[in-house]
Amino acid sequence: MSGAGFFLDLHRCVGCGACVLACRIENGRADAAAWRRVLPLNLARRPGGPTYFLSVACHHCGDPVCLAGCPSDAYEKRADGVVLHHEDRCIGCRYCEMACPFGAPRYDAGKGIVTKCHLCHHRLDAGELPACVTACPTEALGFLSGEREDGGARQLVPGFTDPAGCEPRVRFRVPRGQRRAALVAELEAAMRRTSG
Amino acid sequence: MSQHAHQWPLVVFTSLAMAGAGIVAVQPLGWAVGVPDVAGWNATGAWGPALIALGLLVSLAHLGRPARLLQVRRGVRRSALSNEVMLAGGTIAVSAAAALVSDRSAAGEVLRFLAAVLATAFLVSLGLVYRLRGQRTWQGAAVAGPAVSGLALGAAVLAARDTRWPVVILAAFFLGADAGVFAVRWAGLGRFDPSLRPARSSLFPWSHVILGLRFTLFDILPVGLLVTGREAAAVAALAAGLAVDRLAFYLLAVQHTTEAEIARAERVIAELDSVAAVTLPAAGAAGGPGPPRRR
Repeated sequence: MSGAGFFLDLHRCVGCGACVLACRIENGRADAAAWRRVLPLNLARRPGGPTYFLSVACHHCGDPVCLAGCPSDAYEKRADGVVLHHEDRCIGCRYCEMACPFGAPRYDAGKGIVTKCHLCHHRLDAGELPACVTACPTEALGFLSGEREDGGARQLVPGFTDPAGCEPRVRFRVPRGQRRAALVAELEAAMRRTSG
Repeated sequence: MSQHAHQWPLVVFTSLAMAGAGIVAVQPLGWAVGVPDVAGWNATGAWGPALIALGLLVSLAHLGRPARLLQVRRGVRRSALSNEVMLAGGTIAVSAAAALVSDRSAAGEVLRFLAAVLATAFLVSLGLVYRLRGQRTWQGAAVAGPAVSGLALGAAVLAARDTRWPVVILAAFFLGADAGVFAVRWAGLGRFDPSLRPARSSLFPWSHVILGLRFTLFDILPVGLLVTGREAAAVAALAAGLAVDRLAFYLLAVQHTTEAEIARAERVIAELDSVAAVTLPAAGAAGGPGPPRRR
């Protein structure tokens, strides 16, 4: 599956939130719900599992359920894979919010519509990288184009599931090192035992 | 409850729409069993479009931009939500037209039959709207729920108007079918992996009480009340059961999100951690070699 998306190296992300801030500034979203979130996993550093930060936004899925269900045709998948949301068509029914298994569409109560990450398509069109990628100080967050793939990266965070089968265009590189790899493997095995 | 605040209009809409469409859908059944009071039965049928229309009006309250409602035409065929709205509109239009023509006319009967077909399709679409793969509790029998419950409610309303035994038995059959479908849904929720439930849901411990109340009000009580000749009480129990059904549907929803997966991972990690905490001192006290280093 090709198309534009994001790449996140879980080994490098330190959870600084620069990507969130850059997204807010670039897209004029100072007071609205953030399109990108940094979600810490196991911040308490319990010994039974790995600790990392997940910087996530829209996954620009290959088969986006938001687009399939939208009654007002507010979503569009561009040829380069970017899933766009046309705010002028949105009726604010929040159906995409219910459908998305990654929590990407965010309801903006002020505007009465849903909004979401558009992968800084205006920057892509100008030959630049998305603002969040540019702002990342550790180069943990990357831009995934049709040409760039990483054989060692995974489509999902270890142990996580994609029940909707919507082919997310995001790749996660898991923490490296023997000890961390063992923690990740143990968590993944334990997560698999639940019915996720 | 705050995260469900925008869903209250949907609870009201789906309740009213299921009741209204259920009544319209069983209209031809009334003539098939030879309902004695044709005019009265047709008058009852006129409540159908009124209830659906009222429900649609209430549902506007959940839209952030209700003025853009007509945009839903863009998603017809592709989007289940657009199909639902179009079928609701069609059911209202045809069943309202049927209510305006004379009771015995051929045109009236054709319109009422067409309205019944549209109402049944609308009930099916009500279920299909919520067939979302990322919603863990809106699967399987939950998708069939609106159609079966709507038809059962319509049949029970028919039995409340026509209390002859064959009609009551027919209503009992539909309510029995609903009980079966609901039991499957209830059992599915009972088997639902606790680790997948929302971290701070105060409702899940009460889920069996809520679903038991719904089952009693909608599937058990109306049959007893119809058999004992208390028709008005039976319809009231059905209405209350339907409201509880819709509330439970939305309030016990579990959506797959990245945040929910993180909460699940942390619960799994905590369990791994607690296993280690319990194992370590016990093995050490036994004087054995001790447990292997976990990490």
